[in-house]
Amino acid sequence: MSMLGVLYASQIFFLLYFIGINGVYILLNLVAISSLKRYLDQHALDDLPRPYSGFEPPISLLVPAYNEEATIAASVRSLLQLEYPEYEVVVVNDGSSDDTLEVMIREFRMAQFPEAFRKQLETHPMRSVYRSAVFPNLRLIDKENGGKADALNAGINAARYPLFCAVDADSILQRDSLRRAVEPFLEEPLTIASGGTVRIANGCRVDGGFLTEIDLPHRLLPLLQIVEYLRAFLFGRLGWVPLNAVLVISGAFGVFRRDRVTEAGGYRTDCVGEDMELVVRLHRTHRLARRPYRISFVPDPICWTEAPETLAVLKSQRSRWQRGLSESLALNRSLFFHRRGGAPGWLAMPFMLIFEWFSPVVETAGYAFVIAGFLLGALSVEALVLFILVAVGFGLLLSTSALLLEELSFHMYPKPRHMLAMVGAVLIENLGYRQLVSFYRLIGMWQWITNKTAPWGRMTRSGSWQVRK
Amino acid sequence: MQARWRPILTSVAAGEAVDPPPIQEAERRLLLGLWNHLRESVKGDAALQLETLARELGLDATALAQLTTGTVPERLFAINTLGHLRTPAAWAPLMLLRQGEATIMSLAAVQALLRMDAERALPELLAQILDRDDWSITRLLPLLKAIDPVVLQQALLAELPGTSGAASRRLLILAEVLPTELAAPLAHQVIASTDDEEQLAAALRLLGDPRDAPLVRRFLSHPNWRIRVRAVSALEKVGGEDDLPKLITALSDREWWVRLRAARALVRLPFMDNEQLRRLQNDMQDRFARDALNQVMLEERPQ
Repeated sequence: MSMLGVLYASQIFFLLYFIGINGVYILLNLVAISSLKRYLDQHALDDLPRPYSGFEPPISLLVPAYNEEATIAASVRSLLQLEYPEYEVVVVNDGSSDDTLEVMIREFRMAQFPEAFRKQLETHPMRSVYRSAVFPNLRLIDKENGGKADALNAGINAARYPLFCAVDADSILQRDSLRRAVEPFLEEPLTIASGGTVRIANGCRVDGGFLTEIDLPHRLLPLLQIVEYLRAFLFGRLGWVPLNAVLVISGAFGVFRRDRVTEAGGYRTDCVGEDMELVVRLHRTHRLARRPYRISFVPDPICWTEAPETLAVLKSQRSRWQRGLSESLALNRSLFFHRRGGAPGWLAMPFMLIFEWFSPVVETAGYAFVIAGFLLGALSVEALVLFILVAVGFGLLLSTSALLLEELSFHMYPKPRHMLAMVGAVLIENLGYRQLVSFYRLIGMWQWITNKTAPWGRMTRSGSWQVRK
Repeated sequence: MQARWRPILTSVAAGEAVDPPPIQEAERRLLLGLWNHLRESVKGDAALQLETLARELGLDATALAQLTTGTVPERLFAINTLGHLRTPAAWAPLMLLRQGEATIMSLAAVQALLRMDAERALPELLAQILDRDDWSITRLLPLLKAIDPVVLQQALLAELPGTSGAASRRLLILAEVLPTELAAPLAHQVIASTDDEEQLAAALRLLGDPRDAPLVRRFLSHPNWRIRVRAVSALEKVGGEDDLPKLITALSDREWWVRLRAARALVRLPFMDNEQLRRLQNDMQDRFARDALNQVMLEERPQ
């Protein structure tokens, strides 16, 4: 085949791929719209003032902490103020090299406690267990450094309640986050895990560890990520709920049945994307064992987190997510097209492989080929316009749709200037930002292929919203 | 609409004499929502006064109409309203709705029916309550807790002979909302008639009367550790000084949960003071038993 022929065939491939990916996203979009409407309809009575019944399942909040001396006290204090009838907070100090342990001991009057609990998951050695003399529902596990997954496993071993909620130490929850996140477990007894919508806290006002005012960030990078998160959570998660094929529950906030996670072996300690891997593994083990289960997702915004404000941090985060995706799919590949794979094995995982995992390659190469083809004269202006329409136009359509859906449902950004800024972000996001993120993900893919490891995956945070008054 | 009606509803709830303005048709749906918000916030006389006002305003008729023609949220509000107002004409449509596949809607109908007349509703609902897996236990327990315990006990006792397996276990879990003296007859029936280990474990949870101590002791050496755990926990409530050696033996059980429960039971026994517990701990040869006792002592009786 001639060079021109290769170029032509490639362009057709890229065009078809872009049509395919956007077509599937539009389909997910439609499913998500219908799911969200059904969810909001069925929960019409949720806003009625009803007291807790006392029969809500108790929850263990697991907070893995590594070198969090600056923020751990504020985070734990806010977790202790959540509105829920019965819960405990288990902070796991994963061998921090700073004063995380000392801060916890000092701030919450933690004292060593000879607790004997069953070690159901193997972890790095535990040094000590502490109990607070002030808050009876606060414990601290001090262990040797083994990474976030290892810390979570230690927390699962120590947890006393049938449900556990894995929370990042810097996640900002709402007072009713636990009540909302536990809903799927009450509505569907087969539920084994549930995630919630994570929103971006940059620009918001946070007092005493709680979000008191929602606003947009002044910087462009986090603003673009707000639109991206809306799309990811409203379509990327909600769209899969009716098929029971949600593959991702954010590590920032997720509720799980402790017995099922323990049976599945807990979090894998050799992964950077331990949160997604666990969810995919839960699908795999339950599907292959023909064990009925449900993994759910609550569209209500229940957790807020800080988004990267610099390109360097964004690059590190996105390449890490891509490695996490790669690991999750590779480690659970036996579910792909397995006869018992159901929607996760036959739809969600192939979708993730073709349109999420592989898309950075196609997108980056696609743009390169098209630009090269145009510059070399092998691509007409009409073909270039068609490509841009497909690649960028569909992206605009999807982002706008996410924005509309948000406005019609939760309406978290009520001011006209919010809407204007978000519409601007939708436009800009598709003209450079998306392509940049694709490139960062490509780097992550390369790192996974070349087996580069990154313990704890720390993200540099500005925390500016924490002190805004 | 809210600015006009909220003060009126609040005044009525506070027992003030209010002459409500005529209600416009377009307002009815919104007023129903507002009324439900306020009704859920109050109890006693305030609740009764709000219910009287709703009937005077014809909100029961509005709700009845919405029950069949409304959107999903409107139907949910209608069900909630009719349950509070105990509208006789709503009985038949609610009975139909509780058979629907939609979990939330059918459970809302169950709640409304139980509010209207639990004694009449329970015999008709109970088989379905025990059968429908999608009606979560944690959703059902508060509904059952709200009704007269004697009515519930009678309904459960009547239903028990016809149940087996999962339905029987579910019934025993639901019986946990009953006071011990009302729940015990259910446990006695089950213990006398089944070898099903899950049912036995569930039945042991219902026992709390010292007269049941001999019955509980029979299960302390059961081969299934889950039953031993329940027996040890029950002994905490029904046991006496004679049971001390049995609890000390359970402290050395091969299963961690049994050891922990035995330690908890020992520490919670009213006649065991700190000195006795400390002596017991020092005399322990079994390290696991000592650890369990040490942990629970520090938790329950911090020095």
